[in-house]
Amino acid sequence: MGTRFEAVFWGIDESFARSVFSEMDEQISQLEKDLSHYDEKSPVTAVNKNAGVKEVPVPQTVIKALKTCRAHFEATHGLFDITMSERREYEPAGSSASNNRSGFTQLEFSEENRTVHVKDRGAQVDFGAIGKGMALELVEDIIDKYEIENILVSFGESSILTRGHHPHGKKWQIGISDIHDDTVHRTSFDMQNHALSTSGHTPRNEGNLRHPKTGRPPSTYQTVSVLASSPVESEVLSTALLLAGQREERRILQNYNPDRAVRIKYDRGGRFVDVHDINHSLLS
Amino acid sequence: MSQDLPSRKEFLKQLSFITGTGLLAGSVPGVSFADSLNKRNFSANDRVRVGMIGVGSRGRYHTIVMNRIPQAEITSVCDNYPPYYERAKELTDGKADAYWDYRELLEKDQPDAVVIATPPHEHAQMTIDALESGAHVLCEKNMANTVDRTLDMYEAHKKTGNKLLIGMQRRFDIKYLQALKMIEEGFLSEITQIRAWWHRNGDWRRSVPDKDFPDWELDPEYPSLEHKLNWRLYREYSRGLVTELGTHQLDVANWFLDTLPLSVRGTGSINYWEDGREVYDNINLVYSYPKGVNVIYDSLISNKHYSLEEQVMGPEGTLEMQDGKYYYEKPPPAPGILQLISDIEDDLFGVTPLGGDSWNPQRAADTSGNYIVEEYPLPNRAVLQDEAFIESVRQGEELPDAAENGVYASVAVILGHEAMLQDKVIPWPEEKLAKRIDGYRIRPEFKS
Repeated sequence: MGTRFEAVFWGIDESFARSVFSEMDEQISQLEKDLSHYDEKSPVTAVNKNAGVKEVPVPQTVIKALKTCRAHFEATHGLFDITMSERREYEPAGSSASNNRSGFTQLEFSEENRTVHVKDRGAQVDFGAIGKGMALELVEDIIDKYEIENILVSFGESSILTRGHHPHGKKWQIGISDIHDDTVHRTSFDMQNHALSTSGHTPRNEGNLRHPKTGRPPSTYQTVSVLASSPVESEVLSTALLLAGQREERRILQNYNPDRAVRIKYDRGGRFVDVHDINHSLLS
Repeated sequence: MSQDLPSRKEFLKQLSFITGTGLLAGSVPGVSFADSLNKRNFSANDRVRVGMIGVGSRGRYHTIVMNRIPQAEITSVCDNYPPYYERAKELTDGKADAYWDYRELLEKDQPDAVVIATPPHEHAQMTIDALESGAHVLCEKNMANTVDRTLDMYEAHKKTGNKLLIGMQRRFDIKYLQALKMIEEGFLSEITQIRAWWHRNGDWRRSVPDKDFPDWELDPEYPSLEHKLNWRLYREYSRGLVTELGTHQLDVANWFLDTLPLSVRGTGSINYWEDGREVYDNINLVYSYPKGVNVIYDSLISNKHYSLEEQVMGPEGTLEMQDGKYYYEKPPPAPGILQLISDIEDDLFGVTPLGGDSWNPQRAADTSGNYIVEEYPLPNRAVLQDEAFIESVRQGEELPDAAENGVYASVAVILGHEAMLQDKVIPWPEEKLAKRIDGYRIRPEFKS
């Protein structure tokens, strides 16, 4: 995932905690080898290099990841899209060319043969928007296997998984920092057995995320944080809701049931504007 | 990363800050200067009277900057090329006395200080004459085209006690000073390699007018106006890319490594701009420093995709000075996680500021890195350099090791050119420097 992975355990023997952490690290490293598009030797890199050329054999992990992504691509009405086309951003929204190049229409994979083929030479597969969620699912399995009751796991601070509670409280409380000032938090989430994911369009990472259909980044600086029971779901929703307009927001949330989703907006200068709860506003 | 930057005023006040770790500072003991020929003591309201020698491209810039420094007054200007001579008068609104010959400027105007921005083959004599006339000197790089002439300039500075600053602007860049602080605090653990380059895409020529200038004769040292204006392209006057561009970056290498090269090897050629020029249009050099550290340098003028950069690398991280960014090799713990652990240890429960936008990965060239200095815009380093020079003259304080640092960077690039020309490994002239620079001691690597 190319980011830092940290875990805070309490109430268990340190050497036991270290061995559990090592197992998490090993499994995540393996997942990264399979899904990374930075690693020259990864199957995803091979898939991307052969875009528009031929199908490529891949391990089962990649097929499983693609199935998950396809399900979320459909559930988010195409807003969660792990395929990127270099040309897409130059085309007007809704044009037949742009629609043809968006999402899974460019991707063919066979569970039986374990092969993947990206049909458009300009399209690429990037699991960046879901990789951390998938890794945290592996972490969940290990937590359950060793019956760890209290733990906080952080993936690059944007993806957090918790079990149980803080040793001096009944929950874990996580603050969402201002994009310019780490010491100020704009809202906080109460977490027990939860996953929390934050995606952002900020001055520091402008252009990282683009609407799959229009090719445009969000119109304003903002972050979206989603609290859910599933780390993959919180990951997918934070990305999709960041890109979604109001109408798209409603349609997406008909297919999901997050515990809480919060959008924090900033002005053009990156100064804080407001915070609002997305799912609360939809319910009201 | 801690940011404890001086304000512009503090920066100029604390001139010693400029030295950083002070290369060889310990080996340049309290030198007892000969009595300075410049007897002037400045009071609070006195302005430094400055003569501008050479008002071509760089000299024009210095003139504009000096015009804006309240503590400086340009009293004389000099250039022996008619368009630049007229430009110099215009830039000073005709208030400064204009001269064709720098010797006349020194004799008649007797400035407190001069700025020399002429081609490098002229630097040595002009600097020596200026220092001996009693003026302090800010001379553009490269000091000279040979090691001996470079040292002649240094010795004139020592003999007269007048100040000599060479235009290595990066020494006055707050970003570089902050990076040096990070290095001293162990950000890289140690420097294992520096890679620097300067790439442009263009012929590096200045246009030569076809008109004549009445009553003006070209200096006899130039066979044509082309040679006078495009001196950077001819070996008689310049060593090309390495002395004109590389000198800045080799100065950074010496500064950050806090030592000097042991030797240099390299190769250069003219492989694209085959237009009669004599200096290489692409150069590649490797400088060997103590402890097995290499500084890899290249410059070319047929591709500018990678522009210019100084990458300072160590086992813990990378600094990219032009981009003004630093990168970790290994991710540091998240501050929020550290706070959480601290709270647990202190029996506290509260909000952990953790769930922000994704922390940027720090493992490949395409990662975004962190800014060495957060506040922008920073003061212009070239302006700060000129201000610091004027302040040092007014305060009567030496900019520590300024002349020595200029010598070392100049020698480094002169040797680099020799290495390419001779296709040989050229050793650092340790013994020669030890003989001619006060306090310079022969390093263990050179003792047989």
